[in-house]
Amino acid sequence: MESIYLVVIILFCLGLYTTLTNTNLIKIIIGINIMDSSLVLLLVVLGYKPEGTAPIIDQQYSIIVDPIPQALALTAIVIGASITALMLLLTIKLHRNYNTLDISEIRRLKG
Amino acid sequence: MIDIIWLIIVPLLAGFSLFFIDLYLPKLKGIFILSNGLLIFLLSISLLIKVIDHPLIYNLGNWKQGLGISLIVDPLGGLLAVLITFISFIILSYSLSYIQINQLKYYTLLFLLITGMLGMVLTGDLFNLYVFFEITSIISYVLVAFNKKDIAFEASFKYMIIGSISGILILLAIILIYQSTGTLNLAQLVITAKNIPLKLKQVIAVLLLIGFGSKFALVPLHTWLPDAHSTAPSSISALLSGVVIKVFLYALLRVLFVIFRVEELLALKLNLVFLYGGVITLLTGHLLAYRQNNLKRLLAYSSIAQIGYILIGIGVFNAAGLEGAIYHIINHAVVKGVLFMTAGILILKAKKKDIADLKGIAYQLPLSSFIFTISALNIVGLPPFNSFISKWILTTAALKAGFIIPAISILIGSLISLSYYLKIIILFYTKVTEKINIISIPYQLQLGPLLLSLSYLPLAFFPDFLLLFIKKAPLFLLKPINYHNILLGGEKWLGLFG
Repeated sequence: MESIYLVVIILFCLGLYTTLTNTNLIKIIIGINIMDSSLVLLLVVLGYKPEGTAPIIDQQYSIIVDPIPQALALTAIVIGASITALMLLLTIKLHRNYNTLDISEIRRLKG
Repeated sequence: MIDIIWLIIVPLLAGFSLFFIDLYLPKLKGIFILSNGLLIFLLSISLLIKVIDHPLIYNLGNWKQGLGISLIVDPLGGLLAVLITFISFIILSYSLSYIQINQLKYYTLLFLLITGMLGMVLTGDLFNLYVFFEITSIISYVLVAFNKKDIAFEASFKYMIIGSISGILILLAIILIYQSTGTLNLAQLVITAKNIPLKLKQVIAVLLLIGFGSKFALVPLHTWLPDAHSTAPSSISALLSGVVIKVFLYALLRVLFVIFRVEELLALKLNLVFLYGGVITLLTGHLLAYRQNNLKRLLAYSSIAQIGYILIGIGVFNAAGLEGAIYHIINHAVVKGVLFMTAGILILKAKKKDIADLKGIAYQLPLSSFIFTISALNIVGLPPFNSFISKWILTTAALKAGFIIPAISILIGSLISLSYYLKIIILFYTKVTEKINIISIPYQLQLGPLLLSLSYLPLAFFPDFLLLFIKKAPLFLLKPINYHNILLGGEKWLGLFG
């Protein structure tokens, strides 16, 4: 089980590193997505129980997985997807206006 | 009991049914928008009157307590709900004559933004808070880019990167809280937060501080704000600067005070983070505002500085400091709303954004310039106005608690802001020989700021009435155990000041 937490930590740090060090808009978006996915993985791990079944409250199923993290994971995925869509839309608009995907060249606002 | 949920349903329904109204009854669109704005304002007032003595809980879908999602309103939440709906109503009426293109999209997004903010204020569930947080954020990103100019896209993208990373940090904090307590309900968390180990609590505090801090522009994390608030349409800037950043601040306070007891916060020295973070935010905001030559950018930096004042009030960590902070939240929301709206009128009329180009505009636009002048003097904190009262409460609270540097920096900050606002006012009233080219704009545009600026009068001359409400607001922040006892029928009610 511990190794999964390690995977989550590695993914999260990888995503953060990608976001902070790259200057390409698409790569920044990918980095944010990797961070988001690591949290979804963490949520799924949280509710997992060995040999647990779907959360149906009945006598014959004694071990069930925790349903709340799964609901949260679904919501987090939806939110992540909508943010990604909006970011990609803005990337298209920025590329049309500035003719570049390099964020260090997109700086008309300063001060 | 039932109006809590209607406060979220009405703006959501209005936003999405606007399409059909536009399709079948296009003439009624303006009336529909205004009446919905008025309806949520009245609903929030009736809610505030109900919750002022006794916080309320509403379980969605009649699920058993603790199983489903619940909405919880306490006096602070009720007060902020009234503030949100009041400013939104004024903004809606101002937008009717200000926004000319893409009206349908604009109002749908605006109603969704109101829904998101009301949801954040009224929620009683951590994950629900996260969902409404993201709704508010995503709508803000879109509205910042509403002008469809290159700089608007740039500002929106900047805001979005910082905003989505902060959202991920908050989600991580919420997951960590759930992992060690097994609940997401805020009232239950008051009791179960004892189970979180201290080390993990520190991590959660840092994640929340960075996550929400980058949303309300705590200073090293403020860089998106001046871009986003100055490139958005003026009506949206007024809402973003006036209300949205305060709602994020409220969310941070609510979660922090539920998870930590006051003694723990003091032991972790989080009050000093608020206090000196506030000082840095205030001085940086004012100094950077002094250097600006774009009017809306200056106002945006001034908003950062005002967040600094509010943070100092929170950092004092007693009832008086929090009262001052809440009073300043209300004052700043009203005044900055008026400032952004009048700045929008001036910029729209002169077609120029720089302060130097607006020289002598007061002779062309006497009413708007007069309202701008009054509001600028108000936000500086000159005596007859309402901001003076809140700044006075903040300063005395800081001095009584023995924090000399924050108290002095409040005074220094006010002096700096006086200097840059006076510069603008003098420029406005300088006579120029050549006339500025002016486009004629509808007269109703000035109605919104005029109406909102009239609310200075009750705020400034009858503060006792408002303080009556404000005095009850920090109660459940400082004694969260009462929050649990009342809502979940706990053993005893500890009394107002017991």
